[in-house]
Amino acid sequence: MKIAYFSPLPPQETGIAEYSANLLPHLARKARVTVFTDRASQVKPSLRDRFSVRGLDGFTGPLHERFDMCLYHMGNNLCFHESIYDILLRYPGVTTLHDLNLHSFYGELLMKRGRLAAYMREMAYAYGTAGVHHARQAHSGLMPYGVERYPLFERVGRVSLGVIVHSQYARRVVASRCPRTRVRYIPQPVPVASESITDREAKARLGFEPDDLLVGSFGHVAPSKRVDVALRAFARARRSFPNAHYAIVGGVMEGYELSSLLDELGLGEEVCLVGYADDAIFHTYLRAVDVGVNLRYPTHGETSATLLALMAAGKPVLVSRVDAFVELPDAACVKIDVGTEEQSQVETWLLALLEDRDMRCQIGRSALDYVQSECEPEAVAARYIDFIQQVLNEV
Amino acid sequence: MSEDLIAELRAKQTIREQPFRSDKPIIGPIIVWLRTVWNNISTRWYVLPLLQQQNEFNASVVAYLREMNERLAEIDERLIDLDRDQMALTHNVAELSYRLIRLDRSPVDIEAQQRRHEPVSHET
Repeated sequence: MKIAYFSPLPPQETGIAEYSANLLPHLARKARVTVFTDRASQVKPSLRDRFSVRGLDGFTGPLHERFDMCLYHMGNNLCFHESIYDILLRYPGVTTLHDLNLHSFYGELLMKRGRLAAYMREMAYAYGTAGVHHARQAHSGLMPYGVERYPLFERVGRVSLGVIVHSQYARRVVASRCPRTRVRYIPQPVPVASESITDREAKARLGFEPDDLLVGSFGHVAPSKRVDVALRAFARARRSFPNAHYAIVGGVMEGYELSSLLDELGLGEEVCLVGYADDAIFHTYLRAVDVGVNLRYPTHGETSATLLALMAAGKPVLVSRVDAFVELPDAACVKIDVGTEEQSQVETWLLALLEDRDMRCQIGRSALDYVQSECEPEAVAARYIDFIQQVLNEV
Repeated sequence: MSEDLIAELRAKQTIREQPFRSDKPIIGPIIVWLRTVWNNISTRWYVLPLLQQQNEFNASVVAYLREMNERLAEIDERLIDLDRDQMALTHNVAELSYRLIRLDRSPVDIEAQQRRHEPVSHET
C-alpha cells in the first residue's frame, strides 16, 4: 500500500507533529509512506533520513502520483494546517481529526482576514440558514459566536472518505453529522519509554528532597484546564502535607491571572511555574510527579496527549468526568465531576493520594496498563492500515 | 439583510408631521400656537406634499428591499445546496480516483499472481 501522509513534523511545535513522529516509524513498516509537510527541509534529520519527506506544494494528486490513499492530519491551529486543509479539500482521503472543534481555525482563516462572506458560507454549509442567521447576529455583536454549538468540522468530515478520531465520543459526534463518511475510533499512539531515571532521581535533578510530594499540571494553562480549582485544593492539602509542591509545566494563556491567584491563596515557592519545557525537562517532571492533575471543562470533545503521557509514566491523574475522558477505565484514573462538587472532590482525592502511596501505585499501574494495551504505537499503526484498507475495499 | 432589519425599516418608513412643543412655563402654549399658525401660513402647504412624496418613495424602497431579501434568501439556499453538492461530488470523484488507481494496478497484480502460481519449467 502506498500512502501520501500529510502532517506537521518536528521541530514544528505542535502535539500533532509529535504524534506523527511516534506513528510514522510503525506505519512505515506496514506501507510505503511518503510524508508531505510544510518546510520539508527543516524536518528533523532523524525523520528526514528515514522517510521520503516532501514539501506540500510538490503534491500533484493521488491519481497522478499513484498513491493508494492520502492520509491527512487536521487540527485547529491555522499555522500548521492551512495548506493541509487546502489539499484535503482538493484530494480527499482519510483524515485524522485531532480537534473536534474547528471553529477557531475558520475564525483565523476567514474572519481575521476580513472574509466575512466566506465565514458565512462555512456556517451555511454546515448548519444551513440557521447557521447564517447566527453568524450575522454574532457579527453584529448581538450574541457571542457559538463556538461550542457550531464546531464546523462538517466540511472536512463530509468530504473525507474516512475519518479517524481519538475517542468514542468524537466518533459518535462526527458520525451523526457526517452520515456518508466512515468514522473509526483509533487511540493516540503513545510510546512507553523505558525508565531511564527513577522518580527519586528525577526529583533530585529538579531540586526536590526525596520525601517531597509533587503534584503536577502539564500543558498550556487556560481557564478550561481548571488549574485554579487544583491550586485551591492544593493550598488546603498543604496544611496536612507541608512537604507538598505543585509544578505547572507549560505556558500560561495571555491574560490569565495566575500570579494574583497564587497571591490570593498564599502560595509562593511551593508552586513552580516551569513554563514551556523542552523534551528533557518535560519528561523529568513527568517522572518526578506523584500526582497529575489534568482537569478540563468545558471541552471541545478533544483528548489530551499530556494526560496519556502522564498515564504512560505510571502516574495517578485527576481528570474531569466529561466527554472523551469518561471512556477511560475507572481504575486507571480518578474522575472528578464537573459542577458544584468539583472543588471538594479534587480536595478529597488530592489528600487521599498524597496520603496513600499504595493507592498512587495501584492507579498508576492501571494507567500504564491501559496505555500499553490501548495506545501501543505498533498496534495503533495496524489499526490505521486496517481502516485505510476498509475504506479502499468499500470505495 | 435580516428579517429584523427589514421590519425595523418598515416601522420607520412613514414620516409623520410632528406637532410643535414648548417646555416654557406660562408662555409655552403661546409659542406653540404662534409657531403652528406661522407654519400653517408659510410652510405647511409646501412641506406636506413633499412628505407624501417621501413616504411613497420610502414605502417603495422598503417593499423592494423586502422582495430583494426574499430573493437573496432563496439564492442563499440554492448556494448552500450547490456547495453541499460540490463537496459530495468531490467526495465521489475521490472515491473514483482511488478505485481507478486500484483497477490500474490490478493487471500488474494479476500478472504477478499468475507468475507465482505458474509451474516452474525445468530446462533439460
